Amino acid sequence: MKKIGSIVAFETKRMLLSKTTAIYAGLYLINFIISAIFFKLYGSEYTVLTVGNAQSFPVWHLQASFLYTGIFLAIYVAQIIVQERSRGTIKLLLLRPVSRPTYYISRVVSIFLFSVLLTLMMIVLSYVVGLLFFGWGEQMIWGSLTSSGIQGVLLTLLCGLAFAFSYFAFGMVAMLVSMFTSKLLESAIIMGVLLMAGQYFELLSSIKQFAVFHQMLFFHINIFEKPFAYNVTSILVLTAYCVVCGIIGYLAFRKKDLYV
Amino acid sequence: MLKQLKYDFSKLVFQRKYLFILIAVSLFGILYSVLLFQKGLAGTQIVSSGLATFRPIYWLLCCYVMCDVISSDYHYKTLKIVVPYAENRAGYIVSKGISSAGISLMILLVYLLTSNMTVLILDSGHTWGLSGYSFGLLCVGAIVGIFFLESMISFCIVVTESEAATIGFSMGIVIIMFIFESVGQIAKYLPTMWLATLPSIVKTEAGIGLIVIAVFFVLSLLLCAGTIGIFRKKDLFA
Repeated sequence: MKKIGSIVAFETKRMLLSKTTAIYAGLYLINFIISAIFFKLYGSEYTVLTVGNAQSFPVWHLQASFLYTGIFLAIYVAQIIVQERSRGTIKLLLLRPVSRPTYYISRVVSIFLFSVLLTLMMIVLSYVVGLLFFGWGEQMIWGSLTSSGIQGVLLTLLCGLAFAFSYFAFGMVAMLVSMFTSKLLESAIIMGVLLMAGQYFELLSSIKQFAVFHQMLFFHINIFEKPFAYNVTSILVLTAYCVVCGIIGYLAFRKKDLYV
Repeated sequence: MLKQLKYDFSKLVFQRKYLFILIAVSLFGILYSVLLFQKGLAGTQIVSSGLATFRPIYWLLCCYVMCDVISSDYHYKTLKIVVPYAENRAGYIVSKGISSAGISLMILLVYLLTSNMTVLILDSGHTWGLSGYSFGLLCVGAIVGIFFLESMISFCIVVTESEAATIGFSMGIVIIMFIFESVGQIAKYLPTMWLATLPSIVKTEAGIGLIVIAVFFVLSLLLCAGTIGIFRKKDLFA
């Protein structure tokens, strides 16, 4: 556990201080500023916003960032899985008394932390942009839900947690794909194409709930809008993705020639 | 530079992944054209609609090709071996730019060729081309768009020296442009739309349109000059 903790601590520090994270923050900021400007100029026509205030700003933009967040997560997963192998730095880590299961578990935890980091980044940047352009506002309005103050913030954070969980499941799929590619770019592009194609699962109403892409788009919304049984099924679907991809990924990693 | 260019094109030929991309694009062109033909669309409409659907995928493929061609030596530490082929460092970067632009343009041409050929086989009355499009202007629009994207990517590579940052940045820029495309008033002036809108811009709004394109072109030239300037002073011997 201690070894997992120290590897995860190192990865967390790396993800917080890397240039890549700064670029992602910059791109999110540009995206949110564009959305705020479009709302000011054209109303709801060209943006996901229906209400112009900082309280509602983050929660509306979670779903809208589907492509961005998915691609950033796929790149991060490819970076920690593929790049370590291709550059040979994985050998240095495994030369220490770190077993392959320990290493693998630390990667899984890092992927979860990165999805939480991306979500928090989006929420914080959204609040900042919302405050700058619209002010705090009187109420948080999101679909049929209204709230305000601390309750609104907690609601947003709960949405964010659900959002992060669904993207963690996607990250596990990305990790599985990364086990079979030899370059970061290939892994990122495969996941990017899957993201674009995965949106078409929405046309298949009978099976869409079982597609991770549907959960990435709607899980954080459905926990408030859909019945309890539906949400339990969604949680089980996401957990299944995490477990199945985790197991297959580990079986592939266990036998992998790490170019020693 | 010609020696470097010959080396880069030989590499493209020998690496099968680009061949697989071209085959996949051809298959997409064929299958999508057949699908649209079955829906009853006319020949030139099939090609135009297919291009409109293919366009977002095309730009993501361009991101992949450009990042791969321009950054592979950089990030896999083979730069010290390859750079001596070039007469100078500027020649190296320009050669990488030309080879990645070449393969990007080839992807588009392969798609258009397979799409048109498929429609010609299915509908003998079809005439080559696109509905209301000039093929030459389409290529010019594509080349200018590719040049803009390439200048951004190569600048990011030499500044950040991070493969992950470069891929994230390039795909992020393309997605931002897709977001801007939702606004009709500015959509036609975006680099990602020029391969579809340049013919109409030249016909209807030549003044404004060409000024916008010129601004993007000058920006691209400045980014290229900056890239070459930074790359020439970089310590590549680490």
